[in-house]
Parts: sequence; structure tokens; C-alpha cells
Amino acid sequence: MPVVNIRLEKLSKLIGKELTAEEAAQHLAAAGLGIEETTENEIKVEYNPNRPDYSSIHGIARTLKGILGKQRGLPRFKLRNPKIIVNVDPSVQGVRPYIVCGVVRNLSLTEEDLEELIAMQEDLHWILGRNRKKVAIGLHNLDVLTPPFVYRAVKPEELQFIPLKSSTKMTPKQILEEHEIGRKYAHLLESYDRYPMILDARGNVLSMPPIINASLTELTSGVRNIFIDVTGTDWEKINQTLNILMTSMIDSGGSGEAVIVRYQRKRYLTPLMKNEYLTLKSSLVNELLGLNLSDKAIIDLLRMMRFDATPSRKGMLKITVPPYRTDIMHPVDLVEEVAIAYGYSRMELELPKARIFGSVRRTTIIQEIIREIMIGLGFTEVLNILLTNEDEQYRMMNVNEHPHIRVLNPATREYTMMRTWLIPSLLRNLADNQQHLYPQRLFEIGDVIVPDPTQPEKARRRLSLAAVSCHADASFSEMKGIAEELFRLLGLNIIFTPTAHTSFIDGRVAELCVRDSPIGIMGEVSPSVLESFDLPMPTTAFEVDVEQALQYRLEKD
Amino acid sequence: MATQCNQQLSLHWLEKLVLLALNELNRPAIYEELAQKAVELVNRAQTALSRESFTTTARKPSAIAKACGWLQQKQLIEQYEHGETTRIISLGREGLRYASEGLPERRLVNFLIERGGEATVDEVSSAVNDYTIALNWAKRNGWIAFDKKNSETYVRIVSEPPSMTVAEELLQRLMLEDTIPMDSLPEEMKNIVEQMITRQDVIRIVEKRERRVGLTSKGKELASQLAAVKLEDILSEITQLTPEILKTGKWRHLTLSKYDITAAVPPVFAAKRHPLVELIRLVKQVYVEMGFEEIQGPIVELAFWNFDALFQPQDHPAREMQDTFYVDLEEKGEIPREYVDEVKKVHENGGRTGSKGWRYNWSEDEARRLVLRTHTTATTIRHLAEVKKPPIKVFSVDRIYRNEKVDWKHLAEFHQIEGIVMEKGANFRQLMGIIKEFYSRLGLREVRFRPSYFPYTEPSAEVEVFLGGKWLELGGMGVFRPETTAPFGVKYPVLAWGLGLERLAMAIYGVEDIRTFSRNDLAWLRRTSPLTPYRVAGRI
Repeated sequence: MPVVNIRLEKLSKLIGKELTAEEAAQHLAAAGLGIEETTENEIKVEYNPNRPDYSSIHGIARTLKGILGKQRGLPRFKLRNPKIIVNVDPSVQGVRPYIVCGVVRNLSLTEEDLEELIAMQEDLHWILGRNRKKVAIGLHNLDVLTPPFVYRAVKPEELQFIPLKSSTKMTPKQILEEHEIGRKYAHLLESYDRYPMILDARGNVLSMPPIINASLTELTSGVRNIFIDVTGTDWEKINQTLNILMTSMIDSGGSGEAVIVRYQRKRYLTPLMKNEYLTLKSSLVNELLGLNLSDKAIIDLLRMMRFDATPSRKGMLKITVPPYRTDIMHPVDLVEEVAIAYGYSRMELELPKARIFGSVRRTTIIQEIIREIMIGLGFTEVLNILLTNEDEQYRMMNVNEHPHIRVLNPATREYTMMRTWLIPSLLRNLADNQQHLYPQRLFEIGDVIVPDPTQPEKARRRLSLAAVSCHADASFSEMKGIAEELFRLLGLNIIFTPTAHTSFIDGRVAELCVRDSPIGIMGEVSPSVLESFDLPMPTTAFEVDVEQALQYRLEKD
Repeated sequence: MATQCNQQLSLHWLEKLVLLALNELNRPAIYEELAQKAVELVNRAQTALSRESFTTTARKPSAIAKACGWLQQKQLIEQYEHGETTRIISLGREGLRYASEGLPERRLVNFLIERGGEATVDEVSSAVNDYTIALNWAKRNGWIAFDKKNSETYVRIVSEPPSMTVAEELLQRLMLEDTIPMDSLPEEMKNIVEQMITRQDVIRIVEKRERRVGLTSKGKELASQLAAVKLEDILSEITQLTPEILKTGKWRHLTLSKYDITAAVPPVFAAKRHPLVELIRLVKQVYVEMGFEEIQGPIVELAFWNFDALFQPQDHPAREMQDTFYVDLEEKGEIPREYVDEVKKVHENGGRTGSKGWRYNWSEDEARRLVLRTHTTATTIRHLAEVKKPPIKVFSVDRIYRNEKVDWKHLAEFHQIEGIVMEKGANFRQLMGIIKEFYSRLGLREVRFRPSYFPYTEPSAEVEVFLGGKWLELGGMGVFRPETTAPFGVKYPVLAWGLGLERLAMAIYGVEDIRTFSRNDLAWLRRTSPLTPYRVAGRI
């Protein structure tokens, strides 16, 4: 989850109230922010990605002002009349079709403010921009530029400019191939033969979205006037992004100014900064929260959360949603706002009314009974995970691969598939425990995953039981006695049929059968398998398909 | 006095013999001397049991040495190395063989007697092992002579040897006593030793610094007490009760020695459940107590149930390959036709729910992809779609997957404690109430909630539990959004939660590394008590 650093001094100034770190942390947590770290002057908080407006201290301060009663209802953001035009050339149509822009003047940004602004930009790139694919942001020093600007696509080697983090002029093609940041984002443009570019009236490059800005417009701490471009493939998301940036920068003391963005057929005054309107039934609030709030109380609580709310008719409220709240999709989202403002900790807890009796599944009962038997037979339970790899499941076991479920792109290299049998992980457990006292007798009861084309999910879980006995005198006969007792207690008549299995010693391996149907395997593990697990101790093992075995039992009943 | 008495009674009969031997010698002695003295004492005693059963052990200086070790620990004797060295003889590899098979020259003579007093060298060579050694020594002893008849060489007995030679006697003693100090041997035998030392590895002589054993003052006192007891009473004490002793009724004449019951014994380990399974068992029990019914669903799951049905947009970061395990299968899954249209609409424009929806083109293909489920909520929504009718209270404790790098804090496969309540009038306060009840039944009474976010619940909350001196984030919860329930015809609020099992288990078992639960380290498994979760829960 994204994280934002909150300087306490700045927060107090923005809210207009001195807060200690402890007080601030308490209010932030109540607003739904996760406190990661608190120092005397700074609080590091985690915010949920449904609230991109929390990517800056200004967005967070806005909510806190409401909660602390410093300012309620819809925040106002003044926009001055446009002075700058951005022309959108049709050439961007097939590449990165949309652009919206804004201007903020008369800022006075310190080095720290600037750092926060860059951090906010990065968070927005990730949350709304899907790592710049859908949305890319450019912030520029307006004072070095000459409007009007044009947004058009250029050929790979049509022009040259000095990008950020470089000292020489480069063509767009060179940037994608040679520049560190260019190479990182080159995949976003790889299928195009033209690259989007924002240029000023004198042909100066502002930006090559979504890759990199020109070094010319780089922001430094003295900068006063900023031009913002937001380009992308998703009209709604670029507008949300611009709204969040503009509201935050206006809250930081700048004066906002609209920009005329002229497309071929239509022109927009951006940022759009449109409020949205929703109707909320107060009964929905009370039903979902189990509270009994009056319309007026609900209005007050929503105003704390910086919405405007007015009664339309009895039990119906008209809610105005500010432009930076991209997360409000349905009236239930407003119910949560009421709950947060009311305070989760203030709500009296109660229990649901339904009278239903509890029960566990058949598989839980079966597993418990088998556990009892195996423990009674002196076997210690182990619990392995289902993720494993072909090497352990097959190659080390000296068997050919069976059909199995593979996973794509695992972050941990040894997880490439789901286990199809349990014995391999039990042998690994034994190998890992050689420093401990023998005899070692282990069992596991759990699922394996088998491909099954008849299922909608093309696979199914199958309950398996495996046991290993490992000590200097481990033998087939010891394990046979154990298996016989297990199955006797399960009410099954088990028959040991000679078979061939390359994981086990030839002539010391049996197929376990119930009524002529194989349900498992048992044998002395072959020395070559023991060697591949690096386990120099005689080991016997068995594994059975529990569901299949018990099916016979049920039929018999 | 009482302690002394106990100590005396906890002595092994061999220890007692050593004390008595030292008492009688009345001076420090070496093991070999003690062994001889011990045998002498036994032979003097009147006993109902066979003397041999004691002397076979007592005559071995190695057994005496062991008993001395025990006595030293009990501070009844002290052992010290003497300045002088002693020559100790013992059997070599060949000597051991000869002692059991017989000397080669003896075997030769026996063979010849069988053959009426003579045989050809050829016959001897095939019938007698080590025949060259045998011929050589029999000749040296003057037992045989060689004759030539018809170009064949014959071996013939000229003087029958005594039934046991001194050499053979020496081998027998060494067999019984292991080691004998050279000085203690009679002159005649010493000569034989000098002779036998020339034979290949029959006898070994080592120079040993003498170890002398003497009584401590405590030992002296005890030894004189023992001397007052009849030796047969001491010897009639046994350590091990056998079926034979019981059956024959011999036990009536014997005393069973007392044990040092405080002594350490080899460890024994109980087989038991895996600690995580033990906790799962308790969690399931809590659910059943609270009236929940268990459900189970697929681990390889359709993206449809894992994500789409839960209103997670198809470009949601959680759906990306670096977070979710996708199954590598050419064939895609089959999604339930009856819900496809409704789910599509809800994603695209909110359908009839009054929601704005996510406003993108929903792809059926994407929903047909197969994943390792990232939460058991996939199973929950399946169940809701199948049952629909209120009231519903179900749970599961089962495995889920995240495509994450594994370290001490993160696993790629772990367990989720899932649950839902669906009924008319279900509300958020009840949701918090039920979670509070759940944890308090596990002994965790301090629980708090804070706002959180999940794409499929609103309102949503994070639950934190106070355990081990700190607040632990243990899981998420919320009321299902209408976009989640409406496509499946679910009409009432659904209270849902997914809580972490391993993180709870870490706190309960005091484990720092989350991988402990799948590592199966026997030391940890053996050490961990099944009581732990029940004790934390305040149930015992």
C-alpha cells in the first residue's frame, strides 16, 4: 500500500491547530489511515489506493479539518480564467489520445514541498496511472515557456531535446534506447511509430509523455508558476488525476488557473473540477450501520467528511461529492463516510440475530479421525505447502512427470507447480531433520491438486494421506503392520499387490488395493531416491487416496 | 543418616563388590586387583544363585572400571594415576579367534587323532586352517614328526599334548578377564607370554600408567557398613525383574534394588498434531460454538469467482501476475453462464444497483482465467450464489495464495479464517460484534476496528487485536457491496471477513518467523505443547 510522509508542523499549519504526534496519529487512524511510524516531527502513514487524494498532505489535512470541526462541507477551489491554450493535434489519436492541463501560479515551494510533490506524482502514476500506462503527469516551470502549446506525435528522429537526467540533446528514439528512464518505460510506446510530444510556441519540448520531461522545464525550489500536463488513454482517469493535483496545489497556497485544451472538434476548460451528485436514503445508512441517525445527524457527519448534504425530501438527502473523491460509486460509499465520521470506536457492538447451529464438514471429521489413528500409531504430523516444483515431485523421486497444475511467473523460484503427491515433501522433511533423534515417523494428511478437465476449474482437490518411517531398522514389514492397522480401524480390507515403482526398492513395493482397486502405494524408498534427498537413513513410506479408499467403505455400509 | 542409607541401597551389586574388595584390601588398588578380589569374595559367599552369573562380570577389569566410574560420581571412591607403569596384556585379533576356535596346533593334533595319529601334509593343508602355523608350532612343541613314505610327506603324533597347555590357559583367562597385569601372572605364564608375543597379533602388551582406586572417607564408612551385611544378601539383590523370575517364584528370595529415580533418562517424544492444525481445530470449534457451518471450495479457482464476482475490476493491481498465481494451462475455465451478463453489467455501468460501475469493457476471457485463489472469499461468494436464501452463517479455514517472495514475514501460501453472516437486518455493528466475540473466544479480548478498503465491501474495516504487548493487524472485514451481491440474487446484507491464521499463530506460539509453520523442524514440533492455544484462549 502507498505511504505518505506527514510533517507535523505543516499539518498543524494547514489545519490551523497545534497537534502533538500522538493526537495526530489518533485522528489519522480514525480517518482510515494506517500509522506506519511516528517520530516527534513526522508521521509515516499508509493509505488505501481508493483514496488517491491522500497521496498528499493537503488531501489528508482536508479530511482532518472536517473531523476536527475546523472546516466542514464541500471545500471550494477557485480557478482563474484561462490564459493558456493547448492545441491537440490529431496525430496523437492512435498513440495517447487525451491530454488535460492546468496552471498554478504564485507558489512558494521549499525543497521539502517539492519532494512531497514529486512523491505525490509517483503515487498517482501508480494508483490511477497503472504505472504511467493510463495516466502520465508532467509538472513544468511555466516561466521558461512560451504558450500556446501543442500536443502532437512526432517521428522517432524528427527532433532533439535535452531530457531530464541528461546533459546532451537526444532524439525520442535515442531516449527510448539509451536513457535510463527511457528504457524503463519504453514498453509503453513499443508498438507505435510515432511518439507523443508537448511543445511550446517556439518549438521547445516540455515533455515526451509518458516517458520523460525536458530538462528545460525542471522544477527547482524557487519556482513560482507551474504548468501541469496530464496525458493518457483513459479520459476519466486523467481528469481525476488533474483534479487531485490541482486541488492539492491550490490548498498549498497557489492560485489555480484553467487551461483551454482544444481538440479537433471540441474544446475543454480544464481542470474540469466537476462536482458529482448522489441521492442517499437515510434508511440505507441506518440499516447498514445498525444506527438510528436523524437526517440532520447524517448531514452533519457527511459535512465533516467534506461533502455537501441537503435534505431533498423526507428521508432523502442530496449529496454533493467534491471532484477529488474518485472513490464514490454508490450510496453505500457514503454510508461508510458516515460511519467513519461517527467513529467506529463509538459504535456499540451487537451480535446477529439468526439462530443456526454449527457444524464441520465431512472432510474435517475424516481428517481428524485419521489424525487420531496416525498419532496413536506413533506418527508426528507435519504440514507442508501445496506449492512445489517438478524437481522434487518427480526427478528426485526417480519417476516420470504426471499431469499437474503449473503456475506462471512465480516470484519464488522453487514454486512452479501444485503437488500431486505428499511423499516427496515428507522425504524433504526427513532430510531437513537429520540432526534430531531417530526413529522419525511423520505423516501428513492434506490436499493434492490433480488436473480434471471435467471441472469448470480444470482441476480438483484430492485428499491424500502419506506416512514415512525413518530409522536404522525401517522396513517394509514395520510399515505393512502400520498400514494394516490403519485400514482395519477404517473398516477397509486392504490387499498388498506386488507392483513396480521406481521410487521404491524393486520387490519391496506394493500397491495397496481395496476390492481390486488401487488406492495407494507402499514400499521401502530406493537408495537412489534417498541419495537425491541427501538422506542416508533407511525409510519406508506409504501414500493413499483417502476419498477413494473411504468410498469403498461407504459402499460396503 | 537417611540419605546415606538411600545411597547405599541405590548401589549396583558390582559397586558394592568393589567397595567390599577395597575394604578387604585395605589399600588403593588397580582394576585388575579389584577384579581378582571381587571374584574371590563371590566364591567365598553362600548363595542360592549361581556364582558364575556374578563372576563372569566381576572378573572383567573393564566392568570394574565402569563400576568405579559410577562410584566416583557418587564420591565414594577416588581414582588417581600412579607414577609407575604396568604392563597390561590383552588378546589381539588372532588371539581372539584362537581363543574361540582353538590354537592352530591344537586343531592339528585333534585332526591327527581323528585320523588315527597320522595324515599326509596335503590332507592337513586342506583340513586345518592356518596349517603352516599349526605345523610349525606343533613341531616346536615336540608333538609331531614328519615321515616320507612313497614320495608323500606324512605328519605323525609323537607325543600327545596335555589337555590344556599353559598357553591355552592364558587365552582362556584373557577371554574372560579382558586384561591382565603382567606382574600378577605366575612365572610359568609370564614365559609363555614372552613366547606368544612372537606370534602374529595373538597377544598385545600395553604399558599403562596405573590407575589406582581408593576409598574416600564417605566410601570407607559405607564399605565397613556393607562388610557387616552377609554377601549373599547383597548378591541376592537384582535390578531387573524378568518374566522368568516371576514365573519360577525366585522373586521371593530376591530383593529388587532401588533406583536413583532422580537420574536423567533418554528423551521420549509424543506424536501429535502439527501446532497449526491444533490451532485450526480450535478455530473451527469456536466457529461451531458460534453457530457457523463449514464450507469448502476449489483452490484452483476461476478468476470469475476470485475477482469478478467480488467486483474487482479487471485492471486491478491485485490481479496482476506479480501478485497472483495464474495457472499455466492452455485451456481456460468455464464460467457460470447464468451470472455472466449481470456481472458484466455491474462492472461496466453498475447494472441495476445504482452504482456507477468501473466504466470499462469487461472481458469474459479474463474472467475465465484460472488462478490459485487469493482469498477464501471466492468460496464464500460461490456459496452465496448457490444458496441465496437467508439466513446463512458459514465459515472456512483454508489455504490461499499470493505470488510473493517468501521471507520471515511473508508466505506465498497460507491460511485464511473466512466467515460470513447473511440475514435480514444484518449490519455493520453486528459485524464488529461477531469479530469481537470470535477473538474473545480465542482469549483475545482487546479488539479494535479502523476504516479500511476492499473493492467488494462497504463499509470496510481492519481488525486489530492486542496480543503480546502490541496491536496486531489480523484481517479485513466489511459488508458486501450491492455490486457484489445483486448479480447473484442475494437480497440481504452480507457481513464478511477474512482473517489471517498464521499471524495469529505466530502471536499465540511466540514464533518470530512465519516460515516456522511449514518448515516442520522436529525440534520445534516436539517442543511445542498442544496446550498453548487452549491456554491463551483461557479454556484450560
